[in-house]
Amino acid sequence: MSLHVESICVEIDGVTILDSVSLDVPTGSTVAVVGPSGVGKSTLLRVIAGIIEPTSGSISIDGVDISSLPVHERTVAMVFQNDQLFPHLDVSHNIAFGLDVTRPLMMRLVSSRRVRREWSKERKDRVTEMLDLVGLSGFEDRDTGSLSGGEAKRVALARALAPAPSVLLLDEPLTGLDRELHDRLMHDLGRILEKTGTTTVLVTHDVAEAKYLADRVEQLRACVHDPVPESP
Amino acid sequence: MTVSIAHRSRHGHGRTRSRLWSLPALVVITFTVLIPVCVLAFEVVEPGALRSALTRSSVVDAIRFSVWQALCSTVATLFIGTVMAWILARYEFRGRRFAAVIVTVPFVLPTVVVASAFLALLPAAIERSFTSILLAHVFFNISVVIRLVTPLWSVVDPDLMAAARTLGASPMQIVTRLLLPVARPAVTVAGSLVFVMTFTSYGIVRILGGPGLNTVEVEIYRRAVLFGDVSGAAALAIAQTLAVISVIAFITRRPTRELHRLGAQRRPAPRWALGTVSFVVVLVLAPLVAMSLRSMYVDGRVTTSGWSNLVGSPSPLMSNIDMPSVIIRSAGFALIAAAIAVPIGIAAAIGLAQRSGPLVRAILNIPVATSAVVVGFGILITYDTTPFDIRSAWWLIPMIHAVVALPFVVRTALPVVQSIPQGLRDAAAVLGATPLRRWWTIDAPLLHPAFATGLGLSMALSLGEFGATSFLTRRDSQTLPIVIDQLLGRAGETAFTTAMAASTGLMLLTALIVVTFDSSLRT
Repeated sequence: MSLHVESICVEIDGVTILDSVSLDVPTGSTVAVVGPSGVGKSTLLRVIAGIIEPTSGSISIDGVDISSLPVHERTVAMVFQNDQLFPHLDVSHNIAFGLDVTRPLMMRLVSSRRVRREWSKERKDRVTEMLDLVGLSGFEDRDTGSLSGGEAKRVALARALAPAPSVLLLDEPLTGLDRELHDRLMHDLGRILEKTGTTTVLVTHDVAEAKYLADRVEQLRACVHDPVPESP
Repeated sequence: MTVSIAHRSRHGHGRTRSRLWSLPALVVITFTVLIPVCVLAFEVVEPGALRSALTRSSVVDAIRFSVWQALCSTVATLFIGTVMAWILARYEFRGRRFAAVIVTVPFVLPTVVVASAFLALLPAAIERSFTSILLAHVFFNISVVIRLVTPLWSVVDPDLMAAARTLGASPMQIVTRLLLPVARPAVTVAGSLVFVMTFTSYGIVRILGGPGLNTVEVEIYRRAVLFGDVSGAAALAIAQTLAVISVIAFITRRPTRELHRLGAQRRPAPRWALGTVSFVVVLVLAPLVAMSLRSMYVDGRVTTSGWSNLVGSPSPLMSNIDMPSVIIRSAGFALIAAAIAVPIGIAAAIGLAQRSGPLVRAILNIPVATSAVVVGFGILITYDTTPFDIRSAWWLIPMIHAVVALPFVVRTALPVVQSIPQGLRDAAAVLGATPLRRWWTIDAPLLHPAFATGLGLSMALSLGEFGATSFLTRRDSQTLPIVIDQLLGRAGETAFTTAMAASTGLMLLTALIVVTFDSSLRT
């Protein structure tokens, strides 16, 4: 699905963080937003996800304005910089979280045993499929605390992709990993994005990484120096 | 009061040496707790004794009341405590630190003071009732919940909630699927602790209770001291100790998940949070303020007679109690108890930090599982034959106070001991320091905070100890809490006002000690 971001402005405590930023991501493609740190890349992702409310501007998916929808109704998934895996849940429950919370209440309460069994089979298959996709087959019962940095990142990615989001947001997904792990994960990430065909916005400060993963690279400049940031 | 000693061993030193460190604590606990409890158990060893003692109607009533009021107290405490924990963990507002300190104050107050405060606050119609016991228990225990739950919630990164929201969790689901489950281990432990503490509540129930309002703990006292039914009281004591041990085993068996420390920022507090905090702070302060005012009022007139009685000579209106010497005795006992508990407690912590078998840990945990009343009762019937008759020895009461304080001293010292990096000692050794010198130059200075906290804790606990003392006290060894209890039981305004003055003084003294010595309150 295509994402359209139209002249987003964000002002927090009187400081302009984003000044009229626009972005177009065609269906199934990946756009990387690069720029030095502190320029508002993360803020842009948060605005798209709905975590931060913009001062002005709009966001639409497939031409439908989602600006007024709360975060949990947007079907936009995000991989956070610190992964943010739920510490009280194991790997499989982390991945299935998006499926579990969006399961209709009626179905949870009054459905027949057959429906319930079907649902839990679908859920299990989806978790297995996601773990296979990110290369962590058999990790279902692992505790999140026991994962390495790279494994945690893969679980975070699997969790974001499990509900089949319309747009995937990646916030510095490869930062903080050592060289070898970085390269391996970068290849896998490229393969996963291509395979799932998810519309993706990737934020990074590493231009080489952006060029490898994205179909198009956009520059985001600090609005203090450049009052009108480049818009595509 | 219950804490449990975490078991963790680090540096691989010899087992023998660690036993040596723990030895003084083990010896003291063996003689003051282990043997007396065994003697109590021996009292009820004959078949049927336990059952016949436990089926008496007053005993059944006491058990039923203990469980029922403990359940109610626990639910109410958990509700208020978790809401407060949430506000203190998530929101920033003016006076947040003040509120956080105020709600922890009740827990360090002597139970007798808490009871006095509620007698002063509540109207006569309900001052001795189920309601007043419930209120006092909530007042006393909210800080347990707040202390255990706040750390879990303050590590919940706002982004963790954002992650749940992007995955489709509604605001309600954030609470039910993320925040409550994350806090559940702490809530379970806090709930079990509050249950144990209210189930074994003694001082509060003895003063605020009455006919039909007795916990098992009070029933043990009544049977042993008032009716002289030793085997019945022993049966109750053993049954209660077993029940408490099983709850504590349940708490310590639960795996606690280490959470990654995530950065959490506090947001400005919304209006409901400010309102709730103000309400709880007022609720906590009200009984204490009422008690302080009541110590200066008689029949609507301001008077200092309550306070001057504390330093005056004995009068028949006050059962001829010599208040000045009681106060001096209490202070002396507190100093002796601290002088015993701190060195052997810190030594035991050093032993635990090195390496110790499960037996050593179990013995060090025994004073936690046995209530002070059971300890006092056990000592009373154990050391009653001539060569061992220590019941009238002047050092017995401060010694028991030290034993009551011991687990708390060990518990607060253990993290300090463990935080001393072995590397420092190695560095000193490489530079030529002998083992003794290493200890003196590295360990001793770094242990300083543990000494200070231990001193404060054991003095505060000794000043307020009521359970064991009420069994062992004699005319010439009465402490302040014992005297306050007696004064509250006496008719007449003079006695009551003096009790209020004594309670207020005890409250101020305890608060002063805790604030002076507890470094965690200052940072």
